[in-house]
Amino acid sequence: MAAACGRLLLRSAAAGVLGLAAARPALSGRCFSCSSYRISSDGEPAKFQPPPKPVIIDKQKQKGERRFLSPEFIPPRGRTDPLKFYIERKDMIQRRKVFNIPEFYVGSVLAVTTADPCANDKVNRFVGICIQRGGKGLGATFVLRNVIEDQGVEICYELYNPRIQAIEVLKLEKRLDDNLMYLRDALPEYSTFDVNMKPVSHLDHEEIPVNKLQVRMKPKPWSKRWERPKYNIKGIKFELPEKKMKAAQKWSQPWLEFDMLREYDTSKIEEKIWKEVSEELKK
Amino acid sequence: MAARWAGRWLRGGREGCRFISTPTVSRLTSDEVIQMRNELFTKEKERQLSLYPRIEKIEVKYTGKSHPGSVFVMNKALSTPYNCAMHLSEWHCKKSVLALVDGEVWDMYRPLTKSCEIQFLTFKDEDPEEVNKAYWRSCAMMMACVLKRAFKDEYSVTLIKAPEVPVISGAFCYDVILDNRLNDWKPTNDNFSSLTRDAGKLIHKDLPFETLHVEAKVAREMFQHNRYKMEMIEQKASQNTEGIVTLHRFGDFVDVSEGPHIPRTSFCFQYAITAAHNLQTNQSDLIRRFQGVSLPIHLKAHHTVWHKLLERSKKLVTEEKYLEAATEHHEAKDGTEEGKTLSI
Amino acid sequence: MRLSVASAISHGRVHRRLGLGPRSRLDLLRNLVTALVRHERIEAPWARADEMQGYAERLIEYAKLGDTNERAMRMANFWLTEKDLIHKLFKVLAPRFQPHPGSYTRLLHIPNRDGLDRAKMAVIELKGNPFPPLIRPRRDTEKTLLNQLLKGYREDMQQAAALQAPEGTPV
Repeated sequence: MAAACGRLLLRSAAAGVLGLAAARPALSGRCFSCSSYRISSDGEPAKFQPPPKPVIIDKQKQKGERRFLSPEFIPPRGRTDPLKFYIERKDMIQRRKVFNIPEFYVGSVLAVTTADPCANDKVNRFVGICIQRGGKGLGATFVLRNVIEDQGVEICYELYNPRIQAIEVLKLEKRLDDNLMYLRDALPEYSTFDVNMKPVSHLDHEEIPVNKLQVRMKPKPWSKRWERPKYNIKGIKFELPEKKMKAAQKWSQPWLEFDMLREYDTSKIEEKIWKEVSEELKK
Repeated sequence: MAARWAGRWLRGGREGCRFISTPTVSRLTSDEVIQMRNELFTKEKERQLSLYPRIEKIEVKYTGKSHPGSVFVMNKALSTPYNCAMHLSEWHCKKSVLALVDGEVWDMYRPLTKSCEIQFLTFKDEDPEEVNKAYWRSCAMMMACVLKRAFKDEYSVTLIKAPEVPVISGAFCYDVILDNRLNDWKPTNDNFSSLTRDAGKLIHKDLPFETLHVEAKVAREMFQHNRYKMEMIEQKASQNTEGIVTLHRFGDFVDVSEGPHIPRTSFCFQYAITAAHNLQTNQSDLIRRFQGVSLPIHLKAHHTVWHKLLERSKKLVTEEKYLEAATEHHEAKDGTEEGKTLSI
Repeated sequence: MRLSVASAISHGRVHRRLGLGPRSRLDLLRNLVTALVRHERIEAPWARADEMQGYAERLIEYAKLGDTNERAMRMANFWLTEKDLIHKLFKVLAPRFQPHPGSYTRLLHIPNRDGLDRAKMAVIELKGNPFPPLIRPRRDTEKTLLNQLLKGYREDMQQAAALQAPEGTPV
């Protein structure tokens, strides 16, 4: 009963999302800046077409402002020779020149097409939600999760693997957490995605939407004790007794916030690598 | 005693006769000239030594920081500052480049003649200017020795003088007139490296620099084949009230010097003769200025730094430029030092 | 966290253990940082001083952001156990180090402790403190032979650069 309920809920949510998504292209083509105007002229949208020019300028400006550097470009903190990362960056750029690796985040829904010698048409397509991005440099990976025929499936792809033929972003969004491994312990509907899902269009200049969905979990035991402060999970709707939640706080480490030597400020490195990569990609 | 004296005069007279009787003195080869000067130097040194037949004692007071209040009883005209340093420590023996005897800069191997106060100067002093000058002078003299012997006997080499250039100019130099037949010769890098190798041999031999104060007459006799040196001797003798000229010798090479020298050739660690420039002068002979750079064993440089210094030492060094710069520089430095103490 | 040569062999997995645990370690270092800010020059076991140096420098870097910065204020509040020092940190130390890009402290070895443990000791101080200097000026002055040669070299390079610059600009 509960599962059915959940599914129903999910469907309605999906419909809502779809509806929003359907509405978005219509909106986005029009004015981005003057929303108040649009509300007032709700009745006759055909008559009052705002001039297209300022909208275009607005777009370019926004596009220039938002920049995305894939996280595997940023070298991890440590004593590894920076030359290693430099050389790997060169290879990564070479790959990116011939193959479009789109911008995506943990929580985005992706479809990956890989070469598969055993398949009928030598091609395998998998759709799933990205639950984790790992690795730095050429060995960067991402994990897609989906539930297919009531069976959870997770595939870990290497981002720069030449067997990958296409990466499509079906829905570009973020979640509340940077790692969605807890979806394994969540109810299956949260990681179920339609294999033939239609891509949701997203404009370049728009902010990446954050999906504030809080998932409901299966009963314990879980693979990890997600309620502990170490994981700092925001995307779970915990249905544990008050006492247990309090007990979990025993493991909190409030001093970590003040350990200044733990901070890894990547902004300068990011700036430098962004410059290097964008210059190389333009060539 | 009398017999010895007589013998010496006789020998001296005979040699004098030989030089007078051979009018073509300029035909002498470099080796012969060096040999002749060396003999004269030895003779004069022995003569001066025999002026003090009895050993007399003098008191030398050490005024340096390390051993306050030390007093040495030394032998007059026999003990040198080096002997005093031997009494202090090995450190003083190895590091002292010059001595300061009653405020006068003194060679380490020059005998002390009266009771005095003594201090030792090293490369790492607060103000090692005198030491640096002495080092540069000694390096130039070594270069002169190398040049004098480097050529075959049929080519004449006339040493002129070592211009006094400050260390900051980057190279020490020695002016030389080579044989007319060599006017078109351009020294190559191989030539320089072979010269450097000769200098390296001298350094390896660890020869002491000996000092001798002689009357102008003796010096004139020694340098009678070299008119430039004669001029220099005249000038020196006229400056000095007693007509005394300072000579220095290491190994068997004798030269008229401007001031004190370092104690031994092994004080040089890195040594290179790097360049030769033709000087534009109105004289008929082509004057060449040989240049080199060197670092003492107490101040070694990393090879990358050393190669940069080598590159720089190839530029022509002129003494006039630095005479003006030195005075300005001195004033400027005082200003900067004040500023330095203010900033944190 | 600085690692010694011995620990490099274990792939960086060894670290200095101070106090009774991570919490205690930070508390211990916190007291040292507070003392440093108060006295500007303190004596401590070398291991602690070395560990604390990084935190002291980061704290000053935070202080340079100004006292209106909330995070800087939180940090100062945590790291300075004596609260009257917060004012000193933002009003005295931050302006003092404003022109300097880094390395605000100086760590020097001193003879081992006289007690039973013979611990390696160190003095750590904030630069620009009002005390007499710890390091005596070096004997190797600017006037030594090598330094004079290098100075000449530097002057030559500057001249060459100055000659080249005017040629480059009009193009």
